Amino acid sequence: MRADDAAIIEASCAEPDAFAGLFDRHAPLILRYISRRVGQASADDLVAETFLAAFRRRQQYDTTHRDARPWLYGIATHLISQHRREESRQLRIRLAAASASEPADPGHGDRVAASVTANMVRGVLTTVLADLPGAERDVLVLIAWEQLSYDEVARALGIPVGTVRSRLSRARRRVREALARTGLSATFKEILSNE
Amino acid sequence: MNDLDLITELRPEMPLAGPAQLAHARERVMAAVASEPRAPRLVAAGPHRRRAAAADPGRWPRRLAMSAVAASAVAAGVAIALVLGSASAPPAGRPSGAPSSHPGSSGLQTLPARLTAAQWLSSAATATRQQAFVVPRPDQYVYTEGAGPYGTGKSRTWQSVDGSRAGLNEPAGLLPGRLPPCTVAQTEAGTCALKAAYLPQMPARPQAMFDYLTRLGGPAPPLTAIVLGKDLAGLLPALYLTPAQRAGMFQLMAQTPGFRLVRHAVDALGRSGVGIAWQDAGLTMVIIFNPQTYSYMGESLLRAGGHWQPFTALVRMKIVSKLPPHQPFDPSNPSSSDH
Repeated sequence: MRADDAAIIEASCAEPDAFAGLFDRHAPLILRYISRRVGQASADDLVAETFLAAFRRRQQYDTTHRDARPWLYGIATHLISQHRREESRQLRIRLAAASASEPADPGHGDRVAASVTANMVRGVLTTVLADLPGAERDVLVLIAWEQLSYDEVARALGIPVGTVRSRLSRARRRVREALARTGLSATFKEILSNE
Repeated sequence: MNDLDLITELRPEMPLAGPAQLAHARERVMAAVASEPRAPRLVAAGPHRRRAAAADPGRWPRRLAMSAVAASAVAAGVAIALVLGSASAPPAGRPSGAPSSHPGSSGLQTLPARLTAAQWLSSAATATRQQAFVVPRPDQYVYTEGAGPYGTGKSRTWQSVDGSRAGLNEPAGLLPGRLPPCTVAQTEAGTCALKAAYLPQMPARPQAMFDYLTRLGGPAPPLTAIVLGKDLAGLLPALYLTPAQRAGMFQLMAQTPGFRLVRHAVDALGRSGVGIAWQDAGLTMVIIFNPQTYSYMGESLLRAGGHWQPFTALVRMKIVSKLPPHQPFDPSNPSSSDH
């Protein structure tokens, strides 16, 4: 049975080299999270900085939490918040990509319409995401992209679970309002009414 | 499918990285891991790991980590060639109460009873600003001699003034090691950990200084006694500071709540001075200053019951023009050593 994260961190207090185990275990995940938000150019630096910061704080790690991923997500999120420009740039690039993409097969009317609509929705959602207050975007992304639970998000960001819920619900309301403003077809009205 | 699912669909899909893609980041992390001092821990307390001064990962700000066993190379004081407490230092462990010839003892007796840390620090800032200073040349070295950790043996370090040349670290009782060059520009580019001992571009105004250090990878906001104390404990022994910079550090401490004054603080050579103390995870960390010259003396831990655990002491810091003749063998550059 392999050691849990808390055991690795605890061991690394006396034996710093043991910390490599935590890096090898979770760096791929944290790198992907960071890349998703700020792009691959900055991600390499930021994943190193995340684990360096974690290493510096390893003696304060609460070893009752056997899974260190929320802790690492929290450090990474804090670093990402210091790179807002990169994050905005990433979202703008994706916005440009969404509006520029051509329908796959111009010959078929329905598929064209669906494809154009999908691109438009992606554009609207990307804009909403970019315009969210940072604190709401952090929560939304950790839940919708990284699939963390409310408890894990609370632990990552150092906030109460109630705050996680309220930030998520505000973010979701903005998403729904933005979609409503597009005046799209009944399909999306169904989506919007589905809690 | 609801709005949350739509956001999930927006997620950029990418595979998890393999070892090759993470190699560079891993190298950076493991370099910091490797340069971690591995002294025995002083304290192991409670179910949660407490920071032990010896294995303190925060002591050396990540990119400002100067040398491998940096804790034992402690930096000096105010003006070059100022020798502190040399032959007159009492043997380690003896309390400072004895009337002594070492510098500063008379200064301690004149400290007003109700003096606060902030007041002492403000006076230190004012006094320090006036002190003499000689600007080093970029091709010179900052030489420091120290004792510790725990007063064990003497250590010596030669650091490149601007970080452009390799330096030398001779920790007490260990093999000498080469300090690879790394300038401020390289540090800011993220290619290596800073090895410049003189930072003329570091602002002397307190908040600007803190921001500069943060940008170089050092302390992170918010500014608290724990963050600042730990960082200054690392920087004061290792940087050749201008009087204005030193004054700025005193001012930064003066305006940060959480520091208190300790009279008769004891360093690793048994010398006593004025201590500026803060609490960190149940331990009282103390930086010690000469009460007359305000120069940095060393660092100690004050344990419960008033027992001192002296940690480091700075003996001297001065500017020299050359490395010592005998260099450690550097496998990456075999021609560099002279055998």
